[in-house]
Amino acid sequence: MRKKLLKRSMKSEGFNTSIFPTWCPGCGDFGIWGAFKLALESLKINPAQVGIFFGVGCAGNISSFIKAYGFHSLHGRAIANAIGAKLANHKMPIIVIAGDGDLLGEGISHFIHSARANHDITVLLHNNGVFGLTTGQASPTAVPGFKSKPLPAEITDEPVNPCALAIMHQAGFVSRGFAGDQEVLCNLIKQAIVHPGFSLVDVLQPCVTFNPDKSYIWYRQRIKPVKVPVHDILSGIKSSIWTKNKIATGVIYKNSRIPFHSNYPQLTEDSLLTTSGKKREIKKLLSTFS
Amino acid sequence: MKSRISIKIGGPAGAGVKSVGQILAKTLQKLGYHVFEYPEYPSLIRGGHNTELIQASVEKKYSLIKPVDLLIALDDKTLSLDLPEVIPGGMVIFDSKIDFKSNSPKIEFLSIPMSDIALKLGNPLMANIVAVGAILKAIGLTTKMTTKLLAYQFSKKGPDVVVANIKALETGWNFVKEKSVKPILDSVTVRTSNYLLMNGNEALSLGAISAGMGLYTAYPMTPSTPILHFLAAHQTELGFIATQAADEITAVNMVIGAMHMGVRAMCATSGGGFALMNESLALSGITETPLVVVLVQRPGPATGLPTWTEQGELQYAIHAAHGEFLRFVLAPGDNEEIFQMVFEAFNLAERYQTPAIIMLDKFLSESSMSCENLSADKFTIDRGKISDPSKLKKSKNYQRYLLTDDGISERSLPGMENGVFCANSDEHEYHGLVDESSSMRVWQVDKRLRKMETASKMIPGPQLIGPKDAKTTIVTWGSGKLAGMEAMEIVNNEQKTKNNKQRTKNRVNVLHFSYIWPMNLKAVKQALKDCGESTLLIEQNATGQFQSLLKEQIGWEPTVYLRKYDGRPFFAEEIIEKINEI
Repeated sequence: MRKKLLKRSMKSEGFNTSIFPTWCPGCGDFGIWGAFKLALESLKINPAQVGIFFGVGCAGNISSFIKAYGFHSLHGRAIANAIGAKLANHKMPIIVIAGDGDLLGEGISHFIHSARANHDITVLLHNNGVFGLTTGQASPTAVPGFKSKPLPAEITDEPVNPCALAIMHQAGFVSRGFAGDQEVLCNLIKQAIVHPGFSLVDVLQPCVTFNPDKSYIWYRQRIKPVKVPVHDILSGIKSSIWTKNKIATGVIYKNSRIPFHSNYPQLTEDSLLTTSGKKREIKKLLSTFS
Repeated sequence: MKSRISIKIGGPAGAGVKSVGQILAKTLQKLGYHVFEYPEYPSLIRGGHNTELIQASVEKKYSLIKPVDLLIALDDKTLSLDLPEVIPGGMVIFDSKIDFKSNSPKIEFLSIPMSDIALKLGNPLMANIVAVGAILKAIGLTTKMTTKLLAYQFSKKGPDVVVANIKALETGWNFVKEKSVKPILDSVTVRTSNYLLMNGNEALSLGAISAGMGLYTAYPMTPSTPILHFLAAHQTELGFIATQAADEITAVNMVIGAMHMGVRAMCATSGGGFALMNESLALSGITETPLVVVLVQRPGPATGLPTWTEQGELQYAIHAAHGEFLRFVLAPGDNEEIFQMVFEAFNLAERYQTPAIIMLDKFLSESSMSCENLSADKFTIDRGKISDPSKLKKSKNYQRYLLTDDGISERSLPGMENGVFCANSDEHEYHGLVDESSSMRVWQVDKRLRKMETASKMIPGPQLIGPKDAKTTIVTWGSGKLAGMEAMEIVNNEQKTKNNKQRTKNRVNVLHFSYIWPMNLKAVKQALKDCGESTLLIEQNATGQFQSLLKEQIGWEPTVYLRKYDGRPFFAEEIIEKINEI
């Protein structure tokens, strides 16, 4: 079954571009790439009917490997582009794909603010604990003990936990997947895209070259799927915390907050696209200045 | 006959100085006067020293002159700081709570217990309305129009508040009446006009609404913050979104995201916020996504003088961000131009698929002035080469970054069938996929820079205002236009009163630049040739940023220059003094 799925995901021809991925052989990004394409396919999303915003790094390079309306942003800024895009066309699914260095380093404020505003975007976070494209510095999710190039000794910083962070700010949908389990991951991505509100898929992703200690086997020995999502913040945060032997996966936390754009009554069945770019009558408004 | 009046009101923050200025300006406007209202205030909420300078005239005026005819002091600071500006024959009205003994026989002093009256009427905050009543009588006006305005303004707060305020107004008015002073403004017949009274931030907001803006987003920063407040108040009714972003980096990137989707979007900020937006200007440049940024300048560096004025970011706006790409820099000089330039900025950004920066400054954005009735009838909306979805549907191999002669390629929008591409911040090939080859790099850089050639040929040159055969030309950019034109009017009117021979001898005109970058070199060279025999370049910065731009681009230098960088705007007299030095 798994082999068949992998084969199908490598195909997913509708979403493939002319460029084959440039990641290291064995990189977790392959699994996420495949699961993502499968998710779009099974949700029957047409490549022309989705807006994807990519960060900069190994994860962001996926921008040239997925055929869809894409926007390869600056390092850290993809979420900021995405929330503007969502307000512009709230009828279209908007997805952010970026790594932990991007989203939780330079882009952490966008991550927190968009989660607490509950912007209706899906964030696919490639979490490998390392800056891969710049060859091996500690990322914000690196755990103490990691040997980072710019440091004389092992790092002592505590890691950022994106799931806990999102739950604390009451993002609508918080989940964790594993790049080594495409089927489950595909399912999580589908649920995240469908959820109306901020949805996070924190994907545990081995970096075979620059963080080899956290291998596929290392993760497999620790991941424990949660049975059902919780709805209260404290249980959610507790469940999202990594322990020595256990990392929870699956949909960890969910709520039914209204998405940010629903606060605006001017966004109806029609998006801003229908009125923007056309002259507006301002005579009434001007009369208040006479 | 005195047909122009200059009134200054001073007091601490929180005393309602701004309200006095606004009510007074609106009253004079409604009565048909041409009004200029200029606020000064330090960056704090309580205390400090706030002033409002209101200048009104029967004839159209463009900017500020120095003399103050009537000074209203709500505190002692006003008397110590602003008294020197009052001209002989002028009047000072001050709150009786201030311990003050006048020693100037040429100025009339009136002590009015504004605070006591307000307290007796039940609200000490109404002292400023007592002051408005006093001002009206001192300049020779009735309370009729102001009463109407107050009734409207306080209608939401209930009839009691309205009655109390009107009572405060009348008490102030009667107090001056009892002193039987000679009114400052001669009674003249003023025709009602169809002028509007608004500030630059409002003109900008109206332009953006009219030009079909869908999304406005900003992080609060003086002096651009009121744009967010104004737009937010009208968003639901007019069907666009105005929202506060988490920071300026978020704001500018939201705009880029919305523009990518095909919605006209804009953000505004001041220098510090603009600095944070720099990297995203480059993102707009390489992805060829339209972007409109409003930069309302204030004196820097860093926090600088947050509530004062300067034109210190011209070179910065032209050069901000890494890499080489086209951006437009527009610097309108008055409300009419601001309104027009918003249309222009959206059109240029969409036509050339690149950033357009509109530069204002605190003086322009927060001063209210009478302006012609704004109308978008003359302006068209040009969205550039956006794909036609039906044609795109039939096309076989759509290429977003196709090389073209003018450098501009067809832009599809997410949702359009067959138009899929990647707007890529990496160098890219025709579909937007990453491409680091030597040839593609050169082709795409050349393509993007061809837009600069295309643009610099079509962009308008500067505008010559006033008599063609002037002896001296005042060269201005941005808000300098107002002070330049005021100085021109004063000098040329003085000439009119002299005999014919002298009349043309010393006349002045203005050469105003609102299209700053890119520069239409041919048009600029010709315009500078047509200047008077001497030229005066005025700008509000210390290093002469526009002057060095002209020198760099065409090797031109003015005869003399005037630079001001103390945070205060130009007064016409300063410019006239400089002209007389030539």
